[in-house]
Amino acid sequence: MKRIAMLLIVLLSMISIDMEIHGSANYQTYEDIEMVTGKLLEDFTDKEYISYYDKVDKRLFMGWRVHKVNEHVKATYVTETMFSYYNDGYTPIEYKYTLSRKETSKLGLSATGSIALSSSKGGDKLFKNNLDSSLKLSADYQVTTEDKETYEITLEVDPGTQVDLYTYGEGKVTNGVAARYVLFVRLERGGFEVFLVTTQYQRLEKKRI
Amino acid sequence: MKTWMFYVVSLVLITGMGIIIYFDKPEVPKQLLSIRREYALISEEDETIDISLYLNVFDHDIIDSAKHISAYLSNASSSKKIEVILKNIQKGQRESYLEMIWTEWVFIYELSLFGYDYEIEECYLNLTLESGDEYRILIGKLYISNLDEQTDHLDWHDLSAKKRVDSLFSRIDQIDIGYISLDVPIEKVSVGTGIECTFEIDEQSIKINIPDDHYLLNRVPIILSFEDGSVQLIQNFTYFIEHQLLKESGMLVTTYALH
Repeated sequence: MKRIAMLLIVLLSMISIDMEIHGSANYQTYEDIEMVTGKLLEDFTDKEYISYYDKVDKRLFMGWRVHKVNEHVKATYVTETMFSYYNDGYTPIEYKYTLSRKETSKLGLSATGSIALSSSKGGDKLFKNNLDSSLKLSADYQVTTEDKETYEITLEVDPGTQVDLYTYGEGKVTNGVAARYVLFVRLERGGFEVFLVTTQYQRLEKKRI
Repeated sequence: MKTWMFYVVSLVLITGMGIIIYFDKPEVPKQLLSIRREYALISEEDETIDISLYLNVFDHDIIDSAKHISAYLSNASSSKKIEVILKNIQKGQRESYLEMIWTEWVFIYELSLFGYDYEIEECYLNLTLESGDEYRILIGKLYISNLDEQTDHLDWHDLSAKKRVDSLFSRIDQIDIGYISLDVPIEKVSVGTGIECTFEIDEQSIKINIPDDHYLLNRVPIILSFEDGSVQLIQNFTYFIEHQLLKESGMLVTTYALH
């Protein structure tokens, strides 16, 4: 029995490394996020947590028990100003703005309770203990930390004019609660949330100062 | 001793299985995807055409700028043809599509200056690589507008756009220009795609309606023609960026096998 258990542990640990999601979008700092239906993890009440925990409290031999409260729910968001530029000269300037950032910025993760996030070498967050695999998220969420995306914006800025670029957009939210068991013993329990940006709109504003 | 043997044999078997699974994967054919898009450009110095192509592999001559010999844009019959110079190839975002991971590569080409408006209805990017391989890739529609003297009758304050909600494709539906003052009435509006757009003006904003079409459109200039015959250009601006473009553009995607 002991041998079989050991073998199962080895097998499970090998199987559960097939999917890893990395998130670096600090979506909690967005000025505003509104979901079409449901709530963000930060708005779950204690009473709600208690009722959701009921769904994951049934003991499990090994692994994560997951209850999704919201799955791929559409959301809209507004971020802070992406850049500001002021031309204090006397002639118009052709201003070229280059934004270069990691591709993973389109994905944000958060967790509550004893579910932990760890940091990858690239500084991105990921769920500890392979919660990612148990969430069974689609491949859209599977991104690496190596790639970068670059946006270039070229515009003419008149003297005494400030230009601001704002971003807002649409995304999908998946959240809920999960608990991890090893040999029927619960080791972790808490809330999880994944925020995926699907469309990013850009709004350009200029004002004379 | 027996216990240790059990563990060692199990470990060897599991490792063996892992190796077999890893090496038994069917070889994925090297492919390239293009998405039909409308390119609205202005004939001016430093103007570039940025063409996004998607590859399911990381190692191919086509994404090594040093391996490119020449390139031109043309229509199907090559009766219309423009030479372009490769400036850079930039790695873009990654997306999953048809159970594969695709990486976007943005091919940035310098354009020659035109003294007139130019249009290629069905535009192909033709590439020749050092290896002798040639590719002919459908990219969409190309418009190059040539503008003479420009005015600034419209003092605009902000620019934003909405995506077409009822469309299957990622395409601008309406551009909203907030403005401070408008000195001369506007006669017509274009976004450099060869078609005149309808527009509505109220006290503080101009709403430009972009006709629907089976092409992506997220980056356009705005060309305002005034009743006094003058023209004002609001430069090319990217109104939105899609992170799941392939998935949303299925019907506009063309697949090519890479040599």
